[in-house]
Parts: sequence; C-alpha cells; structure tokens
Amino acid sequence: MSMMIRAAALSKRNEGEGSVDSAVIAAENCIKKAGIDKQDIDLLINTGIYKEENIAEPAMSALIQKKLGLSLDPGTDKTDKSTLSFDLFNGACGFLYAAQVADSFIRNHERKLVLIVSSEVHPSKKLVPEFPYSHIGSAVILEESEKEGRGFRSFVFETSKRGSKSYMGYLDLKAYGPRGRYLVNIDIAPDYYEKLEKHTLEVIKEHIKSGEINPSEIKLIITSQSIPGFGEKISKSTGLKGIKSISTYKEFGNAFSSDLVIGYCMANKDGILKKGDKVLFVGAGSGLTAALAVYEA
Amino acid sequence: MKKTRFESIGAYVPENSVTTKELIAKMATPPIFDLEELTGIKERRMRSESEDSFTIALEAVKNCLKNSKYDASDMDVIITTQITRFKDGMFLYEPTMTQLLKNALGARRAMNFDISNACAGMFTGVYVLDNLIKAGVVKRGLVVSGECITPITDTAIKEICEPIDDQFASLTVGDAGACVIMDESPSDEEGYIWDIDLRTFSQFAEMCLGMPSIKNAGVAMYAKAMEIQAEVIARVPKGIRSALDSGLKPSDYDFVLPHQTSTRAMQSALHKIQRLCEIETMPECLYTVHKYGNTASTSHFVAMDDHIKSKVIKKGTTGVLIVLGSGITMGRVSVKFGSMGSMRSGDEHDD
Repeated sequence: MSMMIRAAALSKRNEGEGSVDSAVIAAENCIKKAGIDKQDIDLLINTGIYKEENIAEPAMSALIQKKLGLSLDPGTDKTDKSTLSFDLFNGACGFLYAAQVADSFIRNHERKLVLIVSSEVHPSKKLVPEFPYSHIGSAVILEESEKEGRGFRSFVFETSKRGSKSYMGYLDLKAYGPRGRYLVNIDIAPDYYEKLEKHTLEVIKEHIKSGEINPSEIKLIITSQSIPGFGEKISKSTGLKGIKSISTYKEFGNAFSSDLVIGYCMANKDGILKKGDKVLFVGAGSGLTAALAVYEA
Repeated sequence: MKKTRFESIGAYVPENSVTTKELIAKMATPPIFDLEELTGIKERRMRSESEDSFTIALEAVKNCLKNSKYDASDMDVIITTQITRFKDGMFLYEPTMTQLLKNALGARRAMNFDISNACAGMFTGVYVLDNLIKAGVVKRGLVVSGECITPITDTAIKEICEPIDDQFASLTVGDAGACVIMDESPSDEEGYIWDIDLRTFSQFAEMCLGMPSIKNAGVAMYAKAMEIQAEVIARVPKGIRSALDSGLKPSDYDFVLPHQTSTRAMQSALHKIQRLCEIETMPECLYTVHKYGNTASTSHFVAMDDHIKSKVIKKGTTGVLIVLGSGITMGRVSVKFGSMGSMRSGDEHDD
C-alpha cells in the first residue's frame, strides 16, 4: 500500500490577505481539481511557519479548516464525517514530514483523504522587503494509490548539528514592546546556504550509495528554492547527472514551505511529468535539515 | 494490527509555587468572583528566570528517560507539541524545538518535527506517533511538551481592567513539562492504547486566541471561557454516547482524566455525561488542577505522572483521557498501563 497525490494547487502570488486566506484559496482550487466532496477530507495538516499576528493558539490549521467550512460541528449530520487538523513545523522541509505522517495514517487505514496546506506571510500581512519569503498558498490532497508502489517512497530525513544557529526565525517580544503581533526577526548567517547545500548534497550522495535512491530511475528533481540553481547543483555534483530539475524562483520567488508543491504543480502544468515518471523531492532548511522522498507519478 | 503503548511517562514542574491569593493580590482590578473557589486552583508553578519552554521540555524528557528502558539515542522520532516556544528570551519559530532538543539529548538518528495543536498538542503527537509505529516507519519515539505559559498570566495581571475580561482564563495556567515514550506493546499485560478519537470542531476556532499583546511586551491569551465551556458540555455527552455505542463500557475504566481546566468545569461536565448517558457508576476522576493549574498541552501527562508516583495508576490500570484544546479539538484516548517506570533494571534493549 502506498500513497499518492490526487491533486495539487496554488493560490496566485499575493492573493489573499494573510496566510489563512492564501492557504484556503489554494485548498479550494485543490478540492475542485480533485473532484471530491470536501467533507471527505479527514485530516488537515498545515505546514506554514510565518503567519498573521503571530497567532500561537489555536493551530492555524483550525482557522484554515473553519474558513474552508470543513467539519464545522461534526456529529450534527447523520454521516459522522469529521476532520482533525493540526500544524506541523519543520521549515522548508515541512511538506515532506507532513507527507510521511499522512502516509502512515493512510497505510493504517486510519484516515483516507489528507489535505496538506502551506503559506507564509509577514505577521503584519504587508510586503516587507526584509522578509525573505513570497506570499503564496499551496495545497495537496493525498490518498491511497490505486496501484501498489506508485506514489511516495524512500522518505529520508537527516539533520546536522553544525548550523542549528545559522538560521533563526524568532520573535524578540521584549524589544518589540506592544508591536509583537506585527514583527518577526529572521537571522541568516552568511555561510548558512553554503552549509545547507553541503549538508544536503552529502545526504543525497549517502543515500545513492546505500541504494535507497537509484539515480538511473529518477526523471526529475524538485527542490527547495532558497539556494539559487540548487537543482542543477544537485544533478552536477551527485550521481544524478543530466537529470532535469525544476526552478520556480523567477516566477514564485522563495516560497519556502510551499516550494516543493509549487515545483510539482509546475512540472504537471508544463507536461514535464508523465505517469510512471519518478521524481526526487529535495527539501533543505533550517536545522540544518535535508528531507528527501522519491515519488512515482 | 500492531498496538502501541505508553512505555514511560515523565514530567517536570518548576519549583516556584504561586498561590491564587498571591496572584489576585497583584491585580489592580481583581475579579468580582472568587477565582480559587470557581476553579479549585489553589496554586500553580511558575518558571524561574533561567527557565523557558526549552529547559522545561528538556527536564521532562530527562525524567521520562529515567523511567524508560530506552536511552535518548534509541529514539527514532522526537515530536514536540508545546504552544509556547520560548528559548533564551525569544519566541522561536526556527529551527524546530525538536532539533534543539535532539542536539541536547544526543538523539542523533531521530527524525524530528514540531506539532502545534493548542492544548490537544500532546495527544495529537501521541496519535501521530501511534500511526508512525503501526505503519512501521519507526519502532519507538517520544512526544514532549515544555509549556512556559505563565507569561500570559503576567500580561493578564497588567491588563485586566474590567470585571469581565477575556484574559481571566490566563490566571488559571501553570508551567510544566511532560514527556511520553511510546513503542509497540510487547503484550496486552504490558499496556496498550486501544482507542484514539480526535476531531476539530472548527466553527469555534476563534474562541480562544493566544498571540502577542498590543498593550504590552509579551504574549496574551483571549478566551471566551464560559462560551467554550457551554459548547463543550453540549457536545461531550454525544461523543461519549457514540463511544458507548461502539462498544466501550464505563466499567472498562478505572479512571477518567479530563483536560485540567477547573474542578467545577470538569465536575459539571462529568455529571452531565453521567445523567445523559445513563451511566450507573462513573470511573474515578483524577485531578491535579488544584496544585498545578491548567498546564496547557501537558495537563494529562502531568496528572498521569503524579498518579503513577502515588501508585493510583499502576500495572493493569485502565483510563480514558478526555482531550480538549482550542480549535476546538475534542476527543478521547483509552489506555491500559503496563509496568510503568519499573522497567529499567534488568530489562534488556530489544535491539
């Protein structure tokens, strides 16, 4: 039993006021594409980190769920349908961690349709030049594959101790005074991206060596966009020579937790991805964290 | 299908105890009601200057590992679930709290991520870990939460200026950390989880909001406590009835452990359940709210740790944990306990 993507969709760039709005727009587009009854979504995971007004409670997923009209008051109709929602954080790699969690729930027949959403916005909901992430919502609906083996496999999650302080996203509430709802600090050390690139390439090489990733079967690489030309760098310096990679930076900027879903949507839109093709997803983010998964379309 | 269990539980509460009377004495506008009588909360623990969400979580993990047959390096996954994310004076979004805990514990090979689901956080983590183990992704892991939540109390003391105020619930919270290690149950005698049901009633998503204050530096919580209580009490009996219809029996349980908000709220909910569901004898209700307050996502595990220490919970004890968190997420977890905390001596690691 395996899990695959039933549909994936995006909001437009800067569409919707806050992170909830853009995640909801992307989710509505995704539900439409999937052709499902939205009330059949029984698990909703939000992986966005930066959000309007720095809300810490409830989970942003509950606000997204409400705006989507999912499971508003379960048990009030005869179907007994309900949704559980929560936020899962792991920066730019959040989507792959959430996919691994969703995969377990689906394999165990515990949940059938999982919606993963993400979006980033500066807490002020304004376009702030020093905030490095573009404001865009992404959504993916996951379900059991009709054919064993298709979909996700070979999830890899590897962190490095070297560099846990080289990227920090935080609220300095004492310094902000009463403006704490509308500010955020993101400190990125000058050597952060270099370290992250090195760590991620090492992880890929290690898993090619162990046989977990078979370079000869990979058709496409979809990566985080924080490192310019990351996909090309991966194919040049690992055993994945000559394999096409998707770059979405020009159109979408650094969309952080949505990068991998944007890459998947673009590969589908441009007809690059065909049934049976194998994709290597490569997430890279704070921690340092590298997350990989192989996906058969 | 595999079954999972709570292999060990550990908690940590800061030393500094503050009574409800001491808190009220600091307020310019004290409540017109008797907070201690209304909630049953006599005291709560508050962090020292050197403590934050991270240090509280770390102490809870260490205490849990003392009760476990495993070492930190045996963990395949670490999940943190606190609402509050304080570390070294900052409210930390990235890197993940789990990354920092993992480094501090030397749990090199563990997968790690943070979950946030208000006071339902730890059980959301338990549900995720239960599924990761059952799917064979991991063999074992830990769910931890370090709640450094009394900064909202400090804000409430400064800002409450009306006899009815959304920040009153902020006076009921306490700081605490809790950790649970879970693995595959070797046998029913060694404990297992047999039922997890969690649902988000999203129409109430905005009834309790935690965020930075706009009047002062620091975080605040704005809760419509009475409305939440009314909506929850209106829905819990229905959930219990459907559980009874699915074959769960009150006599299967030695105790019921609700989210620790206030003794009066818990008692009135349980009375209503008993009456509407026509339950002859309710299992014993466990409380720790009187001495620790509402410790947010850690409340059930702090209470379980306390009752394991006092031997109310022992090998073979069964309990139903009633989950409640902003969102609103509600549900239940049914658990049978194995020989908690007495396993370390003489028991070999299984790989």
